Amino acid sequence: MDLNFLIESVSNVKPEHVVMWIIGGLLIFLAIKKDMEPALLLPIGFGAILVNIPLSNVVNEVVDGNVVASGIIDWLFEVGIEASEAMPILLFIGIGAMIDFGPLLSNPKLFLLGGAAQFGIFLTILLATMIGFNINDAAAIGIIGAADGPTSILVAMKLGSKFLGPITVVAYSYMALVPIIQPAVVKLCTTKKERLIRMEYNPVSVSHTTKVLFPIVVTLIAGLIAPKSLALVGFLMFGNLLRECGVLRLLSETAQNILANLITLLLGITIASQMKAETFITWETLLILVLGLAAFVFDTVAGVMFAKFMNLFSKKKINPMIGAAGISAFPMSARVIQKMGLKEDPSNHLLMHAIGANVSGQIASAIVGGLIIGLVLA
Amino acid sequence: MNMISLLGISLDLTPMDKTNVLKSLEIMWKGVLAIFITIAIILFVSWGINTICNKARAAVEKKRAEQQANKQDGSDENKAE
Repeated sequence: MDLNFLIESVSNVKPEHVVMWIIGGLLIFLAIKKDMEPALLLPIGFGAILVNIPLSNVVNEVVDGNVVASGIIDWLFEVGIEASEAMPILLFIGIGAMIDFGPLLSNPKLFLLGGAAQFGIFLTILLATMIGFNINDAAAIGIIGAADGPTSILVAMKLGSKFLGPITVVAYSYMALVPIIQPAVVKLCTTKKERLIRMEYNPVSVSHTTKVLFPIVVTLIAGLIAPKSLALVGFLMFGNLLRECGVLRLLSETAQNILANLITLLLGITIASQMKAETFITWETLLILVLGLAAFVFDTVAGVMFAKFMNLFSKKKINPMIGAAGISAFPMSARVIQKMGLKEDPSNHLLMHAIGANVSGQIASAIVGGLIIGLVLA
Repeated sequence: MNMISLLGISLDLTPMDKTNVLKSLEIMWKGVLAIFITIAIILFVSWGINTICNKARAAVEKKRAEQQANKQDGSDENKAE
């Protein structure tokens, strides 16, 4: 009796598969035990194990370069991400519906901090090309600094980067590490006196009309200046319009909860299709890990330095720590700055200012993503 | 010669790498300029809209308050008659 079929898969296991199972297990551990972006790292981790089991039917079966049988995870990737980038773009409707731009609209100069905190992206692209990455891969790596998973996925896809898997994992991992990375960097580039700067919160009243017009205006301006950013910015603003219009409460709640959760669930496991051992275990993955960290650090430094620069011209001083919240890891970065402010002075509440800079970073990172796609493909 | 100098650091690069580095520098200055222009326009337009909306609302409320006061005066006069 031939029982070889029972060990057929086992005999095809290679050391790199085992390494990927360990990486998958590590991601699941970080998600459950350390509460690091569990909604994404858990499906990605499980997916990494799933796609690295030899002869599995969750990935495409390829014979002589031809797909002879489709696998569900590869199919999800082809349909949900490769064909139209639908998943990351649709997720932006949910993100837009979650964001209240009120704190930003009541203090519009915080917009500038969101723009400044994107500088690290460009610096990382330069660094990556100097290391030897081609311009498309370098740009896809640099966008990790956007601190925005869907934007990273979209840019990497549009630029045809072969590092989509590592870029996504690194982007989400560092987003989860914002409470560790940012305080250290902010402390390094600010003085105690600067961290103690108090900011009064006297919000200018923001009318309902402004809140409704804002997403439409941003879509028009971003679309006309950076049309390649419209898929992200447009859907982000559509979600926000659902929230602010006041007549579509159920749709807004659906976008914030059901839509966002459903896509997040599928996005994680779909990304795992790019975590096959043969493409993931490379030296480039380690380099991407280092460059991703550099992008987060550069962005934080740029935001803080720009806030200091603004203080040179402003009577009402800005606490430079607010600049660090200009990266778009929303709302984690704002919370980190609030905590840091309270640690320095328990009566100094910076949350609303930090949220203003943080939501500005959300818009800016989506625009920068589109700008980079346009500039690289030009 | 594929030496390029960035911030005083001289780099010896292959022609391909040099093209990529120069392209990334171009992306940097164009990207930074474009993001600040976009952000600045959004900032001014949204500030303008909010200012106009707030002034319009204040004017409407003032007018309403005046009408209310006029009505009050009218009813007081009627009562007095």
